Amino acid sequence: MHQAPTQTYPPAKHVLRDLQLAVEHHPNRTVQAWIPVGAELLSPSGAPHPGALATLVDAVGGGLAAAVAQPDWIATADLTLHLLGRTEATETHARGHVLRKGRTTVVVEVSLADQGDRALGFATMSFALLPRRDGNPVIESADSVQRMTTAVEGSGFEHPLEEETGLVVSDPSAGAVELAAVDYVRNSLGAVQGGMMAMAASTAAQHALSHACGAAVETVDLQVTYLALAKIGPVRSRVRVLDASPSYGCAHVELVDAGADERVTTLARVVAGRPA
Amino acid sequence: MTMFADPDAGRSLTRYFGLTLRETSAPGAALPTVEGDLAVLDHVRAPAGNVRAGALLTVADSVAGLCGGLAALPGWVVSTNLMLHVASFEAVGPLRAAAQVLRTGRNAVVTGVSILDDGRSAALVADGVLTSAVLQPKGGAPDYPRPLHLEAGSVDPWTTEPLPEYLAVRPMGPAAVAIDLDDRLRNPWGILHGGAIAALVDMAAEHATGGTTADTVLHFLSPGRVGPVMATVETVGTRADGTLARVEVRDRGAADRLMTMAAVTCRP
Repeated sequence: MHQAPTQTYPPAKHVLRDLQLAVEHHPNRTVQAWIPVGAELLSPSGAPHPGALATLVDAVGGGLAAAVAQPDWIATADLTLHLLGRTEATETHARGHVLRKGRTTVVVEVSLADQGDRALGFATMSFALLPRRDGNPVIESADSVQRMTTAVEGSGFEHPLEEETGLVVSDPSAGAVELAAVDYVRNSLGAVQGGMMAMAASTAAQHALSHACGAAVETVDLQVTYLALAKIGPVRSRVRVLDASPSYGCAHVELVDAGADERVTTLARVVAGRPA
Repeated sequence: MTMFADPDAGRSLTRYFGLTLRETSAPGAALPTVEGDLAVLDHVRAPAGNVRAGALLTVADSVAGLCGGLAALPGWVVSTNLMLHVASFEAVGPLRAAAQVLRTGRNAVVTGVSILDDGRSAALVADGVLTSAVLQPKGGAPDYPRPLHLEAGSVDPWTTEPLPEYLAVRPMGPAAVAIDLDDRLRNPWGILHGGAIAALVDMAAEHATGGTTADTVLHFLSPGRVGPVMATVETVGTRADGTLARVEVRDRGAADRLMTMAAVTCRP
């Protein structure tokens, strides 16, 4: 399968380009992808940042689902990410395959490993099939491996991921974060990209849970449900801690589009634990 | 005639749990809300005393599924994705599950569900989201009188067998368990009830890891029609909150078709 390049998306300066994503689409409905994991994409413990992994999974899963959905198009319904918190990754390798293609949905699984093929975790995504509209990218079938990269000259992060994306933590103990809906983090529909929403939920929960647990914890599980597109922004978080212990905790996160009457766009349950 | 004409068809599992379902939204409300109540009896507890995650998943699936179904009328729903976090293992009971519709679309309904312990000042026991696909059943959707009330009847604690015995779960080596597809485990669509699948996943994960199920993500991919149905566990690794496992459920009698894929975290 081959995703035809579009003129407008992603723009030259975009989080997907800075991730320097290299992708292989295989004729057997599988995808492999790689991103380098530099210091800008590491959590304080040294594990790959959940926001980077969620964005990688979203790109891999979305590309695969879009390919198998042809001639229809897709909308992301949910994303789950299950991580081991393993450190020392300098590269992340994602392998995606289709679990189900039905009349109305596509379900995709993505496994994640480091440069030594040690498991980092795995992820799932569900997509709703939508009738094709003008402007949806055209995807053509191919009977050979198709390779592409999102990187262009100058791509790569100069600052840590959250800083680069403009994610602001306004009240750490409450888990209040804010993310502007700028082109750098938008998807092809003009809304904040699903991986970036997952990052906002993860960061919001991590801060609230670190306060509730009494120690720094990092996201190991993300269960994200997408209800509506966040097109106006800024995206703001509301966090409710569900349970907390000295070792781990879980929080319920709502992400609202503040510019759209505080509309709830995304729900997440986030589990965060103390790094090993 | 609607396939839901017999109001008892496909309700054996909810009766086993003693789960009474009632619509709580005002007549004419734009979006329905549904609550489910059950006493916590020994048959749904694990040997350690906690309410089995499989029971909580079944309650969540049943209450949120009914809520989503009412929102989908004149269509009806089948579960496609259930995510549940168990916040407390210390439920006293009775439990109350409250579901509300979060989003409705042409093809899917998303429903939020919280399970509260009325024996502990409505403390949170579990929190989750169910996504359901909207289908058009042969002969139409269930014709329930509104507001809906489905009484489970009482459960005899002396004669009701524990959940593993009720499901007739049998180990299939160190990392798998199986059940037969008994008619009483079928839902109103005539396929294996999502709650039974969830309970099987829970028991498989606990069997393989030796832990207690806390977080579960279930993707219902295809229906279970024939059986036996087998759940196989791959342990992915351990972390601060327990052991992460990946579980596949297959219909062995239907060419080993993949029915469900799950991610489960078990506490030590």
